[in-house]
Amino acid sequence: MIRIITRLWSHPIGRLGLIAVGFNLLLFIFGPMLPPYDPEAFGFTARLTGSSLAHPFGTDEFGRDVLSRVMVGSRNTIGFGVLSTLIGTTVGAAIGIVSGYFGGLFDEIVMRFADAFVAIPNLLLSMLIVIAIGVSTGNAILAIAVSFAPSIARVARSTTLTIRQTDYVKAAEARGDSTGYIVLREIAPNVMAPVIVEGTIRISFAIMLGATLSYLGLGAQPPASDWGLLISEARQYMLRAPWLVAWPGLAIAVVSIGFNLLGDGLRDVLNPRVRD
Amino acid sequence: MTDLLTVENLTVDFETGDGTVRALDNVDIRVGPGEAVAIVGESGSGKSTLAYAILQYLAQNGRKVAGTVRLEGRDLSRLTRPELHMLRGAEMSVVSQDPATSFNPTLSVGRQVEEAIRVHTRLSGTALRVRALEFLRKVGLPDAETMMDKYPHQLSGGEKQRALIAAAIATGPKLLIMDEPTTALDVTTAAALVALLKDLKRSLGVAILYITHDLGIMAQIADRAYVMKQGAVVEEGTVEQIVTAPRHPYTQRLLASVPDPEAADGAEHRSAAGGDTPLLEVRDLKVSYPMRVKSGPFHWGASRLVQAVHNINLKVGRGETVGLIGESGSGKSTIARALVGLNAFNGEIALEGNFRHGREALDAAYRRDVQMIFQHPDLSLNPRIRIAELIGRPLKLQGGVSRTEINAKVAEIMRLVQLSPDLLNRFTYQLSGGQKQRVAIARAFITRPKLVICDEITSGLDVTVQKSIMELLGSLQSQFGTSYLFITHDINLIRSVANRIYTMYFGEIVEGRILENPSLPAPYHPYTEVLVKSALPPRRALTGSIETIKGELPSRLSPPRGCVFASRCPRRIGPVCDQTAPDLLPRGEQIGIRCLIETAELRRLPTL
Repeated sequence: MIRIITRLWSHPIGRLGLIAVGFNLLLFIFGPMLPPYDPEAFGFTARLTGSSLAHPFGTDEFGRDVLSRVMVGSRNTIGFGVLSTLIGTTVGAAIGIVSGYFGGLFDEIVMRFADAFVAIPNLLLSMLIVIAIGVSTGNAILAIAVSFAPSIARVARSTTLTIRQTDYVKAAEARGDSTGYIVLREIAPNVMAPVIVEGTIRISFAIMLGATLSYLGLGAQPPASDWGLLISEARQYMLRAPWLVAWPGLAIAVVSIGFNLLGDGLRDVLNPRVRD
Repeated sequence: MTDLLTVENLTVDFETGDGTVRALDNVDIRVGPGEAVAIVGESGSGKSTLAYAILQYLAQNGRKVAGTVRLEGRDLSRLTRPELHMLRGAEMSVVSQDPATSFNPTLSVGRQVEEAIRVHTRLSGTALRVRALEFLRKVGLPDAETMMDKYPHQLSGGEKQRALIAAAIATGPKLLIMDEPTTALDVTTAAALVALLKDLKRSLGVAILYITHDLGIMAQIADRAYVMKQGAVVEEGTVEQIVTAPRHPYTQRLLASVPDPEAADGAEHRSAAGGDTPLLEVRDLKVSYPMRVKSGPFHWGASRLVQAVHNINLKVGRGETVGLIGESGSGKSTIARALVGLNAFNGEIALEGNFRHGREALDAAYRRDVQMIFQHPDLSLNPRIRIAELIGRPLKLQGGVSRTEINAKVAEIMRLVQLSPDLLNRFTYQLSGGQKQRVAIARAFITRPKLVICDEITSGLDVTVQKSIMELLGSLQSQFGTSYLFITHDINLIRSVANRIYTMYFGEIVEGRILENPSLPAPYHPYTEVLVKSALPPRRALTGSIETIKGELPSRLSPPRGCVFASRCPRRIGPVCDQTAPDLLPRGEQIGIRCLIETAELRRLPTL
């Protein structure tokens, strides 16, 4: 772990990603604890003001401090992206590895289902799922996880197909090792590198998808301070007070790009062919 | 006489993650016009770096610290990029190790050979094609016209390498740099290529800088040689002087490590032949696999069963070393995989007289007693599992062994294979190639198996490492009485250790014999003879001529009706060879030879 981080640090893109994700992590931990104002306190004397010393990000239509709302919203938004990706990646990887290792008709059926899911755009799929099972933050997380799982499964499966052919798996089969050991010990750790890379990049998609769902009213509900929701609420004032959209939008962009860069860095660092 | 190529105190550094590494250290070499000079060394000696430094084509992280490279007096480092472009390919050409990746798979071979010529000669149209055809014929590709229209995947490895050589020499270069051009090829294919290069050197007067780890090939092809170790030249001299009277201790050690049946120095470990009941007996083993045959408008086609090996009968005695030799496509690895239950098979496998039919019958007891060591430890050892678990796993699988017992046994076997106990918690990518193979050996031996199958286990290793691995296997054998089934293409290696040798060609055993010493007296199969004469050890390569055979393996889809070796056999007796399939018949004290030539005639052949 420490080795991977040092290697990422010496990788130009990886270093940018590390800095950005490190910043995200700080936001995640300390964001909701240190807002300068109560994010839900109305201030009728200062509605829709621009940047000032008192309110660096300005205020919204109810006079609430935007900086405080962005800071508090960070935990929801980042947590949302990471959690949904984590679930989707774990489930997808498990399906892909098992399907790839056993092959045959089982693999054929699982993968055709995955293909069908991949054919539907992620946003559409997660919207459909949320509408089907009910609007809530938890369901939105589940919906995004489900929409991610098939493509992760494909990545895991294609790597598994390669690993299955290696001599170390053959050696395990020759000595009569159990399927469980072969899948969990011999194959899974070798499949994890590309899956982690894919997953890290997907965190940024998940954050954007989550924000979109919230924007559409299918994710976080008012008065929560989710970034997508902030943009959604601000849209009627967009022309008069563009900062209301710009600051949460910028926050989403920074977080997404950060995870994306980290994923790109990991792709190089975890690739055994680039090693040494 | 002025030299064609002079390299003077060339020093090259590489920047790596762990600091600066000196790849070449004050290297001086020279190549005269029309001279063949070999650069020999083991992996990491810097011999390939030298080739690329001469071409002014170092890797991104490489840096020339000092020294000059001159071609006909011109300092190559002073040339501009376009000048270098014109020089590479026109005045010095390079042929690299792997013919498989040197061609673009989407263009025909003819296009690519023509392109290489066109860039440097400005020929075009018919003249270009004529030149390409001329050189394809010169490199021994008989059917050059059809060859031109083929795509790289339709050519064998040897044919590709020849086509590359054709492209390299068609521009009339003065120097040909070859980086291990025969390493990826079978021994008979390599021998034919070496013969071709000697021929070209004579007829075209082109100088050759030949980079190799193989001292036998060096002795055949080169006039002079430089021996490299860790980036420095440790010895230079004529090939004869280097082979017969090496001065530097490293050269001496290198030569002593090359398996040479004639130089039996008493250090060989041929175990005593086993008793009457064999440990392993294989009867009528047959392995087939489905192959899709293209037919019909959409190439739907049906699968057809193709035989990989058939009629395999062999025995391994207790404590014996048995060699199974042959080139790629002979089916030797197929047999190994069937024996450890990785391939389904027909026929019987008996361990200690217990006959088992088919793969399902290979039970846990059998799997404990029969272990396999794979060719590439890089591929057979999981990179994400620590060494302690890698080695201990087969024992754990047996069940009924406590954790402390396993740890004790792992520690013991680590000591036996001479691995430091510090390595227990490491991963294999932190180890050298030889150490990795020792881990694989330790894993095979932890269950104290009765038979260990070694599938080309030394072929990826340097000769000095190979020697130490062979010594280790010998000492483990004398300690535990283990039998080995040694699968290899290296007949010189196996001759000095085996009690029994089976030679395979195209899925059949063509000869089986019992050995008491490394000499192979007549009668023998013509293919065994070809194998021996294709890979001469350095000392014999100086004087002996290499035997080369033409042609390729027959097709699996239409296997020959007669003798499988008939199409390439140098001792072919006539059309009867194509029509009658010979049986594996005992000739004198031999286990059997599958050949139509009369025993009396085979007996008259000289001892190999």
